[in-house]
Amino acid sequence: MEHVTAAEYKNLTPQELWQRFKAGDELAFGELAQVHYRSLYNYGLRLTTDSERVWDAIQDLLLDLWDHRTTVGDAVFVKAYLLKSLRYKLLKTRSGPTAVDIDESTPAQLPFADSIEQQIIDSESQTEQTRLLHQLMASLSKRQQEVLYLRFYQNLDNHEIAQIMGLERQSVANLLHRTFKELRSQWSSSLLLLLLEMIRSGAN
Amino acid sequence: MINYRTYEAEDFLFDESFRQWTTETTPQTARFWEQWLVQNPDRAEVVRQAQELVRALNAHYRDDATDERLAQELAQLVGKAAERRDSETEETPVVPLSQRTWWRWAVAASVVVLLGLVARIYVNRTAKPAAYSYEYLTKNVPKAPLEEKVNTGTKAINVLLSDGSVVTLNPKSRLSYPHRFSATTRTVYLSGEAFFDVVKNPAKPFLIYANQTVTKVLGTSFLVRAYTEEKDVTVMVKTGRVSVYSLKDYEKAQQSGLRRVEGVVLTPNQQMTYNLEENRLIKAVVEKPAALVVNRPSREQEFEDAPVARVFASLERTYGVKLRFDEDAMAACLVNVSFNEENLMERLDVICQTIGASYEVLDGQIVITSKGCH
Repeated sequence: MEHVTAAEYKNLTPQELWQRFKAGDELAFGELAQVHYRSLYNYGLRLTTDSERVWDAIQDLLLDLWDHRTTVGDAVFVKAYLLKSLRYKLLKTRSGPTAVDIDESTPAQLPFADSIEQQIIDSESQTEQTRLLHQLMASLSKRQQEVLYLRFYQNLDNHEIAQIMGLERQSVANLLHRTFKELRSQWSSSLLLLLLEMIRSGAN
Repeated sequence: MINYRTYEAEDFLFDESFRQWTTETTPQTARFWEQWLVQNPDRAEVVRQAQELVRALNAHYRDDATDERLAQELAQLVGKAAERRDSETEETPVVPLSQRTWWRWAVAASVVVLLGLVARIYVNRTAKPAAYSYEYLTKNVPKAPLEEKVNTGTKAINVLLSDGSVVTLNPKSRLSYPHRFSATTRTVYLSGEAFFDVVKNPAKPFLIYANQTVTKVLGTSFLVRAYTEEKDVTVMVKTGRVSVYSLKDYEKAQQSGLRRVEGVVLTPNQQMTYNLEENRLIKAVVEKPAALVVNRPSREQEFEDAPVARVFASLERTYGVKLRFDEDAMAACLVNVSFNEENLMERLDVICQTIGASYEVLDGQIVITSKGCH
């Protein structure tokens, strides 16, 4: 294998990177991992509020892939696969006999907990819309929150979401549809309220 | 061309171009959407709503990962990956050493491994997997027929292998080995107890299959004890490095081409217990390291201006091998030498260098050729 400088890794095709990864090139591995690192971390934060645990889980997950690099299939660096693995890792390693599934009936402290959002809200200058959305989100079930997140933030299709969450594709479609409907109707009425409030305060 | 006229707010939410425009990541999309809004003024409210949602959601899903932290995590990952790969490379051949220089390398390294495969015996008649028994392995696994030495006596016997390694086989023990080792590995099968003096050759690992374990030799000499009825295997190392695997894991890895085998690398004063029932390797520190020396034959030799015939005779006794040489031709050859941890081949190398002789291993014997000394 000829030597490649760090900058040149950026110019390699996915196939070339993949071949180098298989051959034990750790820089190619890093390059492949880098693409998904932030997405993974962000998703991890939806599953647990312990950010250090998320960082650790990502390292574990990727090093597992590295250890099995000679035998793994081609689909390893596909986002949906990585997210699914991370989900499994984080929910599986949750201490104690807590639920492994995101249960609609389970109240707040499970996945999609709000502390990170809360921190952001506390620390940053928030628009009214974000605050409103935060309230709206809290009214959604955990499943709805996750589906929306995977669809919106991770930009995955229903099939991929179904794989990650262990649901039927049709269930994902239904869930998304319902979520949007709720979100939109709430959003519109909230915005209306917001508007009225602004008008009122402006009038004073 | 997508018909955006039919889009509701949530449809826009997942439109890449729309999102790019809203988050202002690409200027090209801005031109398109501004134009589109001029052409479709009736959709302005939907678009505004969608944009608000996109912004709000982005803010909602924001995380605290800084570029610095991401870079740091990535560097850590790559570092660990390289580390793991390098610890695997003992599996792959290093630079092959030429026939004439391997002994220098071995002497320079002067690594002595004492490995005791001591087992506590509990006879287990039912759960013995025949698949990995000594009998099964020696009959079915090797491609070439094996030679077997069985020690039914009360004293240890010596076996000289084709690479020059010497195995001291203790009573009630059997050793199977090929007449000539394969090109890639030196594999032997043991039932019972034996002391190995292995010629170091990193290009050709020396493997001992014994009672469901595989011991890979990275050092030079060690003791293996593994009687057939045993259920618990313990490997102890005095110095050097030895890898121990469960036979199952080792074979699986060989077949799948996996370079990393789940095993245990033992360094001085560490011991490994292999429980055959639980199929588990447990590593621990040796409690009384000195006890390891007990089973190891002492092979110290010292010669001062000694006729080479006497040195050879001593080697024959120490290693229990037959040395053939022309005593008359070498009558004038005297050597000054002392040996401690060197194996047979290393000793022969030193002696032959001194007196300008050469030797070869032929059918379990060592033939030494020399033009004599003046």
